[in-house]
Amino acid sequence: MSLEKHTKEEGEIVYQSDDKPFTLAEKLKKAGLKSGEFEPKSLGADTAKEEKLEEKGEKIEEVIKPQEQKPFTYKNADDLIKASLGKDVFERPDKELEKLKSQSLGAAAAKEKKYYNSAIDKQIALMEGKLKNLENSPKIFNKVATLKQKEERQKSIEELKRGIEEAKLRKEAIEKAKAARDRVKNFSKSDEKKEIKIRTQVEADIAEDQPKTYGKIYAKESAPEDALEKERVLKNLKKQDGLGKEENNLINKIEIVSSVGARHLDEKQIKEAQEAREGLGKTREKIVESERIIELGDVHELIEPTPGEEILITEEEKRIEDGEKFLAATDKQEKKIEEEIKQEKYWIREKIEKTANWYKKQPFWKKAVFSIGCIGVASASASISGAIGAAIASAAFTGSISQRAIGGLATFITAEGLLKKSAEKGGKERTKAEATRHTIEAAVLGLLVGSGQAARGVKEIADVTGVSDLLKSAYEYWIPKSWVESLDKIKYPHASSEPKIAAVSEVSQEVPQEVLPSAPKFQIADNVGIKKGDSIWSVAKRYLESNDEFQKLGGANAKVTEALQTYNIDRVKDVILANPEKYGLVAGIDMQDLTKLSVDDLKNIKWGEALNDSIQEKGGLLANLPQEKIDSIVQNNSTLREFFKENSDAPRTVENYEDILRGGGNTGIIKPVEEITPDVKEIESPESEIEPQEKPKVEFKEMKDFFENKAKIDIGKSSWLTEKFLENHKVGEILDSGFAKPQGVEMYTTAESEWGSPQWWEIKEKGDFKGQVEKILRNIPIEERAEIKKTSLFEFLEKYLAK
Amino acid sequence: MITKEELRQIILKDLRMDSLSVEIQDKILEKLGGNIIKRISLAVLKALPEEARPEFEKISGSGDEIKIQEFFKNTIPNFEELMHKTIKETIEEYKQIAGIK
Repeated sequence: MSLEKHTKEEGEIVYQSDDKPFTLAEKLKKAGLKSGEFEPKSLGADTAKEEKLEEKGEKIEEVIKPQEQKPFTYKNADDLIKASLGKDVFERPDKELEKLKSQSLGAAAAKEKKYYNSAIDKQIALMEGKLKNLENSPKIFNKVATLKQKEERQKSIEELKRGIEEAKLRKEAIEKAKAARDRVKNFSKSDEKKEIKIRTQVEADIAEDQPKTYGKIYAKESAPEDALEKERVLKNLKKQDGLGKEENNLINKIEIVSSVGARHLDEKQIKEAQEAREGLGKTREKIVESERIIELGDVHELIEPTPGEEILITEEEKRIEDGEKFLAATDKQEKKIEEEIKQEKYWIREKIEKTANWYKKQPFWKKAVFSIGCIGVASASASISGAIGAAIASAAFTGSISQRAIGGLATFITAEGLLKKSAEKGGKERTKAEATRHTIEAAVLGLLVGSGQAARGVKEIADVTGVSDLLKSAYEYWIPKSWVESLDKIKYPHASSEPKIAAVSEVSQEVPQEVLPSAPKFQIADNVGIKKGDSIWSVAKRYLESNDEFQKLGGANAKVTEALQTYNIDRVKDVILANPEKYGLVAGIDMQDLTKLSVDDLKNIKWGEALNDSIQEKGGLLANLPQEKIDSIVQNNSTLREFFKENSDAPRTVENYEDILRGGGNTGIIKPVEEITPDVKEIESPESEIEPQEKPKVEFKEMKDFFENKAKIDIGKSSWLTEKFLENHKVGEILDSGFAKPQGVEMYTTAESEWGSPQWWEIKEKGDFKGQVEKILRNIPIEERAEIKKTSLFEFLEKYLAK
Repeated sequence: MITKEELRQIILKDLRMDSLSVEIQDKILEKLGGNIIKRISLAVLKALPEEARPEFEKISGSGDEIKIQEFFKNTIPNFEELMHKTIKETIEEYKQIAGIK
């Protein structure tokens, strides 16, 4: 350090230093200096002044006074800091802004906490001002600036934007940390009463023995151990009288209570003391943590204890902490990669920037598909231990399909080109390249179906994007049956007598080579006859039957033919059901009952468009299915046929089809009352061990009342909140992040719903509903929650609202 | 039979993400994907010989993904290995920064 003192004029003092203002201020404080002038050393020389000082015989070392800046006269060190914050630290040239963000701001805030907010606000305002200036008159600038200048300007704009965002985050983190610290301190104070009570007890206990030892002086080596110890205790207690508010001293007191006074206390008091000590230990950790956060400007949020509440970190808090830590890790890695990219030449930087921007614009599900696939690729060989890992790795990296998928990832680099090409064709024509990309995306998604929105939204994505049929096969596509079987052998070695693991070559050979025919060409009849009793399914079948390729599906194998034809017909039906109005059906039509449509309704369907969207645009007819799937489709068809043969009046609704396949199903026969209502005598008879089922404790009406009156959910705006909804949805489903968002592919776009629109209301009310369920869940022990998430909402509410 | 859910769990566990909320899982996936894509781009473009750049510009503008893949395979030695290695290293680096052992 060089803090140099100079006499400027008679009685005037100038301090100079190359230290930063805060460091200097500390030194001045230590030196007990109260007032003077401060001149930073690096702001230029004043030769005349040097000469003057030389004449006075004072030590001269770069006496500086900038022409443009007058020295600041301070009254004390705090004053110096305050002034410096405004005059020096925050008025540096642009190029130092970045440095200031990471150094000065954190240091300034850490050293002089009371100026935190003003310092950050000032910096934000400064950056916003600069940003505004840079963004002004872009047209004129673009006309006159060179390419390099434009690039630099753009870079500055981005840096400033990022800087503003970071500073705001930091400000928020500091606020939270401060609030947490205050709470912690309050907590300490409230606990102090307990400490004092214990301490009084200890003092009294010690006082009983006092006359025996107190006031006597022993030579250290001959003093009874007990006496020395007690003297030390008394000394400490006395010393602490005036320092009770300091957490450190409180902890010391408790230590004394535990180690020395404990034998005088009863069990309860010891326990109390120990608990208090532990509590304060945690408190102290919290204080240290909050200080650390403030000093480092770290964005991690503190877990704030509420006075009187247990401070121990819960599982939930640990989960949140981990999540934030992992998120911060992605940020750190991003910065590291940015640094690496900066080292490259413009051509590479420009391409990467375009790719990164393209990625940013993608809907979430695409990003998830991409990263999940990559994680799968990286995880396969690295950390899935033993033979399972080896098998995954073999399958993932030896099959031509996965090679194609990995290669496909690289083509994201040329995404701009692909988009351009697509746009040139009016966004209508699906190129072969796009078809391949869909295959890749579907395949990667299939690998890991189930992460977050990607999994939950598979159907919505499928219906709208056309990846649906690929998705249905994607799992098998990536993971061929033989390989799955080989995994089973490893995983469940005793389950089969064939412990062979498929060789890599076998795996590769068995991977289906094509799920998506590359050039779909098929034609359909202009019209087919539609008669009474027809359904969407039967008409779709008729249209498809007019196509030669459809007729040939499965070749000579009748079972395969049946499965493939059923599968493709379903594709058409699903597309129509997903978007009935688009295909000419009247809004609000009951899509559950497939036979409710009149002949006219069916005739009004835009069959050409539906077949085009579901088959042609999706790469043509699906011509391959895994054997397992084929068996399952054929079996289902047979079950349904049998059921309807025996029960011709059974409702042909989507719901009933599902029930039948689950082993139930409505036969359509209205049972006589006595059959529906069990005979009371029968129930009461001693032979019957079946107890009558308890009536639901809470009716749906009561649930509605609860949500309307207690949870303040606008039932009038929540048409989705029906009894059926509660029965058909599991608790876990609505806890998913996407629950509150609108259904359909919109969920994967970034577009915000218009305020007050039905969509907006749905998001809002669903969000509130989700919040209520979470609230109830919080009162349930953690170990029970996993099981509860699997139950239906109705069951859940029935049970917990009753409580 | 190993189920999709089991497979998913294996991979989420690998990144210690299995206990996190779905929201956080999604955020991490999104950001990590961004990092991987930058690294892949960097690796591939660095490995692309300078003399192949004009051809690359031409092909990348064509929108033919299959051609692009073929181009990479023909001009970048061990292209697929490079892709695999880059992805793996990026994930490993992330784990290291996040303190995941």
